[in-house]
Amino acid sequence: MSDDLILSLLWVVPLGGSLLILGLPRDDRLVKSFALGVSVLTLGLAIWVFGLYVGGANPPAVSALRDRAAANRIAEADQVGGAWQVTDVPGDLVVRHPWIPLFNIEYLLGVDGISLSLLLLTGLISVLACLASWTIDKQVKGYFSLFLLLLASMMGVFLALDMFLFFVFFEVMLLPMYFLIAIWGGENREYAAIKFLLYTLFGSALILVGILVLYFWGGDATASVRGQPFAAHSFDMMHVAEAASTTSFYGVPVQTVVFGLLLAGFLVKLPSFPFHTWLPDAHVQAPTPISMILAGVLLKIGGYGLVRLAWPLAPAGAYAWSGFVAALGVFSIVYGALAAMAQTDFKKLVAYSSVSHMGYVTLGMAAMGLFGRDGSIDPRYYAYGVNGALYMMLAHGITSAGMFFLVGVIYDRAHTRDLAKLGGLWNVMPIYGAIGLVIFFGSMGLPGLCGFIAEVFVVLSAFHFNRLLAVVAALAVVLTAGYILWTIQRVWLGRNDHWKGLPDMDRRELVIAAPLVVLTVVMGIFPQAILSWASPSVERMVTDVANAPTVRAVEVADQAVAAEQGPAAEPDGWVELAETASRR
Amino acid sequence: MPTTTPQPLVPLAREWLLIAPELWLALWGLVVLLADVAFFRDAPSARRARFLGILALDGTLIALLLALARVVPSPLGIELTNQDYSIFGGTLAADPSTAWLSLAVLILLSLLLVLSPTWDFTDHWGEFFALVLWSTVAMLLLIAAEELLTLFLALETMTLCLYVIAALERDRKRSSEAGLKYFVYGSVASAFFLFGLSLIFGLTGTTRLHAVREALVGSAGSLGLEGNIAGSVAVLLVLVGLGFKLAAVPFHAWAPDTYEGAPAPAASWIATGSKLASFVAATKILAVALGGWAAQTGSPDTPGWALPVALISAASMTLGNLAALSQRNFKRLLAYSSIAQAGYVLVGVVAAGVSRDPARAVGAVLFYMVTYSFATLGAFAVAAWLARDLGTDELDDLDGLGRRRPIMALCLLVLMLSLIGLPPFAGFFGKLALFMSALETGESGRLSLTWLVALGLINSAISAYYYVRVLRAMYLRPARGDVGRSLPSGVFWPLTVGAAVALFFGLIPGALFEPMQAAAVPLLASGEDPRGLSPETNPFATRPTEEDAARARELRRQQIEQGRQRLQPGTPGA
Amino acid sequence: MVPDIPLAWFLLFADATFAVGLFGVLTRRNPIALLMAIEIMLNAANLNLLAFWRYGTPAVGDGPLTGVVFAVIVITIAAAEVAVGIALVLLCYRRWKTADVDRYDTLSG
Repeated sequence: MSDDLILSLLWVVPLGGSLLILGLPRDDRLVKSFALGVSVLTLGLAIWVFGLYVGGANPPAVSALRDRAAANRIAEADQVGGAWQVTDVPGDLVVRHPWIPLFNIEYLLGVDGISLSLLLLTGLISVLACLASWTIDKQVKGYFSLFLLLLASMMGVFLALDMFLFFVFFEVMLLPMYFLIAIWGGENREYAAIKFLLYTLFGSALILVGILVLYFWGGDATASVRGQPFAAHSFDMMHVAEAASTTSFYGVPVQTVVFGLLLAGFLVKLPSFPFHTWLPDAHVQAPTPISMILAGVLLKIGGYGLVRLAWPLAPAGAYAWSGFVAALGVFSIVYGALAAMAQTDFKKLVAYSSVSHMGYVTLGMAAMGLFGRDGSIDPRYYAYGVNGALYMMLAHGITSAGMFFLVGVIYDRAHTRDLAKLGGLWNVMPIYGAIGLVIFFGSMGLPGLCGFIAEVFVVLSAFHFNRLLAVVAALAVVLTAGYILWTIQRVWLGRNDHWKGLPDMDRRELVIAAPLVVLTVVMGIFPQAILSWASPSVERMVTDVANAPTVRAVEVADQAVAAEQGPAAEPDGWVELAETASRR
Repeated sequence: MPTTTPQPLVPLAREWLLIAPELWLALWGLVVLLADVAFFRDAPSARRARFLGILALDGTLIALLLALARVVPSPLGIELTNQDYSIFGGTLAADPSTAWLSLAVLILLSLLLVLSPTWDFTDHWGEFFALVLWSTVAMLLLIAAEELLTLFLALETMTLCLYVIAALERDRKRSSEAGLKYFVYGSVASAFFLFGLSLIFGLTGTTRLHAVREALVGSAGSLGLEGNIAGSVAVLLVLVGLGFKLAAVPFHAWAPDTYEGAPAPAASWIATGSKLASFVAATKILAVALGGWAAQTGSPDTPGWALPVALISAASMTLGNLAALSQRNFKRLLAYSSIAQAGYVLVGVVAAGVSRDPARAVGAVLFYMVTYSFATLGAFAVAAWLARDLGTDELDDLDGLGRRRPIMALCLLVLMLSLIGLPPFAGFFGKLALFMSALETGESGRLSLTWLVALGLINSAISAYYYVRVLRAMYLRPARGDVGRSLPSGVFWPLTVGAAVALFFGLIPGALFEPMQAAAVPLLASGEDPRGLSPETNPFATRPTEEDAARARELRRQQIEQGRQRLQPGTPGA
Repeated sequence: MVPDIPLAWFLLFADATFAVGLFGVLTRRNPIALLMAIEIMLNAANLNLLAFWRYGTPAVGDGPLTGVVFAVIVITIAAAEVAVGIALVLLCYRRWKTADVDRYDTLSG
């Protein structure tokens, strides 16, 4: 099968399903089975793409996405007839067609390790969320139609390599989410839904401004990319990113502005500290499966936007902002953990834990220790950080979806989420307790479970960047342990006769929980299973960012300022310690 | 006069043929009026509405065919690629801009005529349809006007017709109040506009848009009698006048009252057809005629009106959106929404002045106005439907529409999303094209409009709040009473066509953007290549040549001299 | 030879007339008086047009009579405007039984 078909199918199948479902007869079981079938098919397609990516004689994983996208060019055959030709390279998992030639907008899809890992996560969480939606009994057709539309747009976001196309999928996501919260949510659903919508729209407005500034910027006229003169006016992410990381076309000031815009936009989605307030509302009001999607996938779109757009498109801007962003990440970690500790609503607690965990993603991305002590480019530690951020996104996708699911399970039975009323559930529901323990410990970052790997990577990288931040981030683990253990105590431990007789998890619920539990453990023990194919893409991105001439310019300017202010502080044992630790 | 080239048609006959749709519509207005008087004098109002509506629609469809003949290759056809006619002594354009835009206006008119009779709101159906047709004629002429006098005449004819139809709803105080308010604001605006035009005429000695431009470019910096003051006053007065017609802040006060008070079909025509035509006229005046008015802006490429218009645009979108947040009446909501939308479009108009590629900016303005007009007409169709069944058009009246009328609700959902500017609908692409053209500015002021674009995008996010209130009413509220009890086809067509336009041109924007850009090129045709003067491009040019002008000047000089002599005491004849 | 009345005098007169009309529009509450004020504003523009026609020179390609023709058409438009205006005023008068625009207040705002 050609790339054209299989990559397009990844979003066309759920979209088609979402339309077809409206034509099905009014039979709830049929509708649910159909939606599940479409989700499973989508997951299957994602796995197939994964097979193409890592397998075969000449897998695409070997060459950088940038090279593959550049090889797959569009040439206008003749100016008069206007017929377009695509130089197609089969088997490279890149699709390119003209869409709106007037503005140089293309239908450009492609996958690399970063997007593929998130595509797989999306497919998996969607299947599980679809199973978790079995209890929906209000306007079933509408629900599953919107659900599949949401799936289609999420897939599209991770596939798109054209900024315009990315933005289209990004925005299309809002509407199904709005209705899924506003119609099937809890008591205060309308408020939560409109808050989600407005926050995200404001964020996307900033993103669009950033993209447009990149598109229209007229910089150094002599800049060339791959032997061709570069004059912006392109929405091709890979092309613009290459210009940003190999030329000085985008100067430091414009990159600083663009990075600020993209950062703010994606931090809303992530969400990070000042823009996070929509999250607890949306989570608390959303139905369980939608909470799973929201925490498991939608938040990752913020992180994916950072790693795919913000950093590669404005590396010098990112470097100039890195101290602030890293501090913001650490603050989010601590703030989220403290806020989680203060909650009495189980679901709200989990929501704030997401804010805390996403802080690690921000920190991992922002800890840009790009230069060795002798001033040479040495992005090893930064690669740890970005790998850690990516791993955190995957791990959090698994554990947070699991946690929201567990909250949903108990809410279905006890009809309360008040932590003060819960308790003693282990005696009543032992299987539920065991599953909960694994997933909550995974989220806490217990060694051997998935969260640990990510936290270690991020903190290691942060250590090389700024010791104070690293120490705070590492100490925040105590806070995390605090609220998680306290939650476990308040929900499962102790004695509470009030809940006697609650049924344990049924078969459907076990089917949903099992993959999450397995992945929590496997990802904790064999991180290489994912990193082996995902981290080459991360490292390419890191290398590009580190080698950008503009980043070097920022560094030189910083050092000049530092030299004026006096000699730098004596390097002490901390750095050696970190380096030794990282070498192991 | 260039008489050497062979002529396939007698020039004058061809000129009349080129405005055949306008002539036909004007005539058909009379036919409708007379038919009403002659045959339907005593018929019940609803029946008159139906028959006259069909009659008016027939005439419009014939006009549509005639207009189509201008687009397709035919003896009448305007060669849409590079031909650039002006007819009737350079007063009207007959080029791709008029050809495409008149098609859009006539299609909108057909939808309006389908919609109008579904709700029996007046006793004066003959007058209503005749005035709608005549206002459309004026709109078509306004789009084609190449000269200030013609433009003013068309603008006045259009608004005079609209003042009356706004007040036509029977037994409703609010309708007559709407008409009077519209009239008072509109005619004061006309007076401002006219005074500005008179000053422009005085400063440049001409009323032809391109000649005004040439005169201004030629006298850059040293304008007219009192230097730049007279010029500035003229431009500001023209801006005030245009601002009223476009309902831009701070000249918007009439719009909410008029939209709410006027019957929905009349309000929809004020919001769509008249606005589309007014925007074309505004673009022509600002980007073509006054494009050369370089005030002390420090940049020779930036026309002096750019900053005031940018400020008007910023104020319109911000205040329009903020005011819309608290509205409860559906039509009033649409009014504030249209004020905000005018702000977005003005971004494109500013861009037409400062962009390196003004044709693209104007193309974006036209694209946006056309798709906006279809969306708004569809939304007003819903308002008419509500008013017909319930007698009111409050937002709450939409409650539960999603359950009762899923298809209609879906169409309205598409329209609202397009108005917010969410992809993949036409409104998104239109807004993006506007903003992109605003960023494509000259070397010196590269990022100068970025603030305006950022403000526009933030405003789009704000606007989501009130558009989503419509969706909330339709989908999240339980159904009440008689919402959408029956669905007349007159509501079905505008709504579905509007939704189809929003979706189709959202997915394939090029299909509309390219004609609109083709229309924008001759609309802007620059002063260096005065249209119609060269025999190669226009064998039928009737504009005077340089010699004629010299002769005319000499004649004037003699007249003035004679007048002077007569005024002197002691001469014979005094 | 007595010098002509300078153009500026005509223009000042036209400006003053326009200002009078604008003042009337802003202060009058009687719709008929409003109409009259609007007419005065239009006539101020007419004065301008005629003065400019009399003193200016036509641009290349223009006939000699533009200003006069413009003024004649404006007079026509003004007449049409009065006709429509009076009709609307009468309509409102019949519905409210008063000729005070401040009393026409069914619409909020």
